[in-house]
Amino acid sequence: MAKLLLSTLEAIPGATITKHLGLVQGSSVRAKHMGRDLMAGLKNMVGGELKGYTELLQETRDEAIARMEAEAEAIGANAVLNVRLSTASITSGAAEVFAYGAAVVLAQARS
Amino acid sequence: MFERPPPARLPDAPMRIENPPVPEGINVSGQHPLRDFFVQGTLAVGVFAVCLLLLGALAGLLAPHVPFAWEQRAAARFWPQVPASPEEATLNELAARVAHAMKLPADMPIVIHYWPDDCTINAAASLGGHIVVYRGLLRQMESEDELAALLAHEIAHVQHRDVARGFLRGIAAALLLAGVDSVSPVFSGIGTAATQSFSREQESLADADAARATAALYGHTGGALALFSRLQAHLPHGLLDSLELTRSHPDFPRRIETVRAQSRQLARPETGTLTPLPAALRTLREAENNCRSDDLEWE
Amino acid sequence: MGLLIQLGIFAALLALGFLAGSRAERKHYASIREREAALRHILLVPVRRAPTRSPCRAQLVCGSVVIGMDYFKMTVAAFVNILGGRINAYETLVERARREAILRMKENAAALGGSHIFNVKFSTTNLRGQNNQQSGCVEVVAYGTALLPVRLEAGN
Repeated sequence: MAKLLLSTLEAIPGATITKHLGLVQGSSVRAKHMGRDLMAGLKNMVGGELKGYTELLQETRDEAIARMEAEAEAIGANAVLNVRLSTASITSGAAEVFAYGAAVVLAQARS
Repeated sequence: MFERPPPARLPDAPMRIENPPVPEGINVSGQHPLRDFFVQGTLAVGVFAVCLLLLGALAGLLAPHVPFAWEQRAAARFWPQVPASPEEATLNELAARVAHAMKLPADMPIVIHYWPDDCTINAAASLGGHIVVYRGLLRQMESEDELAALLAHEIAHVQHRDVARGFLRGIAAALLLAGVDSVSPVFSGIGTAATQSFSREQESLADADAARATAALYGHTGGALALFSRLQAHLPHGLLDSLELTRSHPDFPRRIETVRAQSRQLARPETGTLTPLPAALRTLREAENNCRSDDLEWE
Repeated sequence: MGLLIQLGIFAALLALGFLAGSRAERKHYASIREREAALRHILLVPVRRAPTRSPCRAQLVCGSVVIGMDYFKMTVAAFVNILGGRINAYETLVERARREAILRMKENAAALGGSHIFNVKFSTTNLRGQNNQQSGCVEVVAYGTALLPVRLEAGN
């Protein structure tokens, strides 16, 4: 299956939207494990990037976007436009990444 | 439900706008809450307990390397200057004899503090070689052998640096617990169980030392046995109290068996003539019990 | 003995959380599906430019909901916090909250007479309980612009 087009644009240059299929969403909730917790606690004292958490949220984001793509494919779209991402903390230990966008059917403009 | 006005159209929209239903289950992966609970619960509890035990063992290994002089300096300012009492002087004399019999190094001086509190049937070793003996416990003693066994037990804690170990372990456990989002008492419960199991081990070693000291001083372990038997008789014992996992000291039957094992090992008798208490302490039994509360505090 | 009583209370709260929580979840999902079917005629178009030139009245519509967690979910989350990984228990929670928020936004639009909602956006927050350690509840707000047809004046 051809890969879905994801974009934060609303209009792709050179393509027209033939059908809007509504809102598609993907979300994922993940928690860090105890080891990362302890390292982060220590790192908090010296400052700097918390690589463990960055990785964790990247994984979560990838999964959220993958789920959004799955929803879009299931309803027959071939692109998701106006993609937005939102991160929220659900508990002091868990973060939720939420991706949503407009599922559309794009047609490439013939030149 | 509500009035449905005729849906407004967007007649000049260049594309069609549709609303196909999105299949469920994409954003919610297979839900097996109970299975997750048991599997993840067991794993989490296991991992946490293992980390706690490892950290506790590490703390226990490091503590003896902290110089005793540091402990003494840290503890020195916490003890109030109370006027010397004859009871305290007698206790310190006896402690010196017991320490000598236990071959305590000269740079670990023992200081006994006598607390006239009848509500506490206990004695405790603290940092820096300071030991507190409460009157509640002292009243129960009937012979010098028992008292010597008690002091030997506490001195053994100092000798093994148990207090410093417990201190470091407590810090390690607190650090670990802080890293856990402990909304349930499960993890604090595991923390308690782990620290208590280390504590029980230490107590057993101290009991063995107490038996050896009594045997060295009096030729038999009768004092140590009498001590534990007497305390066992006085303690409240319900069904739920005998859950050893939650207690910091081993069960009394086990403690008595430790003493017996030492007797066998040293080839000393378990009974013998008991030396009477020193004069200054003999009258404590007759003194008025100044404990107001009904239930006595026992650790 | 104190420990046994604590464990007993804990087990009771867990059972209560699990039974009451899963029941509430089932009923909520049933209600959500029912209302989604009824409001299928309201279309969501998450783009900024409405693809129409006819005069319309724009109206902000929003729907929000706060859903609390139950003791069972919080305990499972505490376990996953140690091991790491996905928290399945919370996924149903946020999904329910989102779908409910969208439904309420649609109901808002339907009450005004609109049938399309444009530029739908979301906002999720966690309202913490009193004790900072404990998780509180999740609030989801869904908002967008409903375009309502304007009756043309006679002179036009």
